[in-house]
Amino acid sequence: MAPFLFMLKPTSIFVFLNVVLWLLQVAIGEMTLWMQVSLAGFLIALVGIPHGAIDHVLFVKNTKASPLFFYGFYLALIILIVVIWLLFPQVGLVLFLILSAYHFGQSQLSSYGTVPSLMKALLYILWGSSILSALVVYNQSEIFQICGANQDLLQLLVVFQLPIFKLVLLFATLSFLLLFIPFAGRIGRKHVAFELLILGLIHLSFFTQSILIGFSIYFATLHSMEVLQEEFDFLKTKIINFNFVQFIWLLMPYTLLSLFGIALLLMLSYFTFLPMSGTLIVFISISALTLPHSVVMEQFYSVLRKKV
Amino acid sequence: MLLDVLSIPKDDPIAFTFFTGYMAMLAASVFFFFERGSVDEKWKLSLLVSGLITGIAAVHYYYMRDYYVATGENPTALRYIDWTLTVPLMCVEFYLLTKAAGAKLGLLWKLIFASVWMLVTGYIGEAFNPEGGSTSHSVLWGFLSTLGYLYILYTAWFGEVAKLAANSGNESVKTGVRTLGWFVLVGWAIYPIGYMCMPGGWLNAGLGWESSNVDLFYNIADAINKIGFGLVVYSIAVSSKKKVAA
Repeated sequence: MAPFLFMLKPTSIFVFLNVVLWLLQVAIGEMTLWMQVSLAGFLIALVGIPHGAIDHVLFVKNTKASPLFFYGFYLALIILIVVIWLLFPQVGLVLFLILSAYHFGQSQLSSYGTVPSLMKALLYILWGSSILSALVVYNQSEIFQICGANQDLLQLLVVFQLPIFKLVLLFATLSFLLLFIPFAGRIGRKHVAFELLILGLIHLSFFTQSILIGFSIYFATLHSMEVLQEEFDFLKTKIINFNFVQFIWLLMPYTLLSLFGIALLLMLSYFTFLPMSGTLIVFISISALTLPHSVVMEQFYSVLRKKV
Repeated sequence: MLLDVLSIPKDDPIAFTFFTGYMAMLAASVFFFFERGSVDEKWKLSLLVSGLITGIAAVHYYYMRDYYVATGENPTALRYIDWTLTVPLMCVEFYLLTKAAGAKLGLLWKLIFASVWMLVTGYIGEAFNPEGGSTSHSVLWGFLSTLGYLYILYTAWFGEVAKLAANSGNESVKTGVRTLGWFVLVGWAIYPIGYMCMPGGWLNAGLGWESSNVDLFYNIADAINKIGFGLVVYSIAVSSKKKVAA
């Protein structure tokens, strides 16, 4: 079953999940918060966390750096982000959003190698900004609910200014379209049309689904599953007779470690050993992993595209 | 009819465009019907269809003009009646242009079905939107309608129509079909944008865009799309005739 799921196109799974969940909600009503958290947690645990769990393998294989160097730099970046969050949470959130925008755009568009480098970086950030600002604009009331539920999240509300995000949404989306469409000659019209369709579908998903469900479906399918596929294909070229089972074994250690770590932090929060809400802990944890993961993926994609 | 004097407010661009739209469509019909005589036999049917598109639109704009001036409301039903006739006819043009290159009757029926599907589902979404607007209603019928639109778009850009035009050996047909493809992509895009600005629609609920001026944009878009469509067909007919003469 797992290899079969792995072979299904992430786009098809994205569409399927959205349609099924939307129809279910129209038929039987909105999902409770507990159901949303459970589904989002399941998707993120199944593919979201694993897609970053072999950063150590990818980095060492591509750079020939020592594992010690890798762990040193990875942990240093994690600590840096945690410190920023603790001292300046609004700055931490803004950095997280910008990094995520670049990273999401990169994983979506990096396969189009014929686009010039500077233009690529701009397209990545515009694409990512388009979808992240859409997530905020279309789900503003939910964001206020989530941030309003915990004292330590109230300070983050100042970042989620609707007029700014609306402006970002319009600017990023229109700019992306104006800059990307002319590359139809280099990339091929069908690829451009496909990317525009995907962008539209993501927007539609974020509009029709709740913030948790919309984001977790996108993150699990169009982002994580695609990246997992790329990582698997890459490792097959590096390791003789590399197969799916070996891939799962490679992913397991740090997937389990991450899940255990987040669970531990959430328990500490629940029993008030940590003076922080569970939601903020999740934000900081994911944010802390995003920076070093983005650096590793930047390196990974630059090697991958050189081969192409 | 001649004794009814209609008062057109000076500051009402929508009323203005209903009147200009009606006359522009009528004038275009006259032009296409008259010019039919000056093109080769194989293009006469295409020009007739172009004339019918603008002629049908002219009649409907005549009634929409009066309805709007009398009530100040969006003549939704009349618009969709107009579109349900003229949009399939525009799809017929794709078939007629690529007929010489081997287009089959099946292509014609598929395009007609897709266009009628697009319009009927769009009408249900717009006309039967509950009071105050319902996002789930708007999104469901809008999504279904978009399937028809995407099918036509795909056929014109990558599918059967695009391939037939590319293999036609006629540069005018290739350029013409490409131009008509742009009309469908850009020109027809105004209609789903207007739909999404309705209460409960994506742009209305998501970005707060209102639909108060949507009639203005529809009127301008209709005139450009219908008359422009016909002019593209006319230019294909005329340039083909020039090539034959040369």
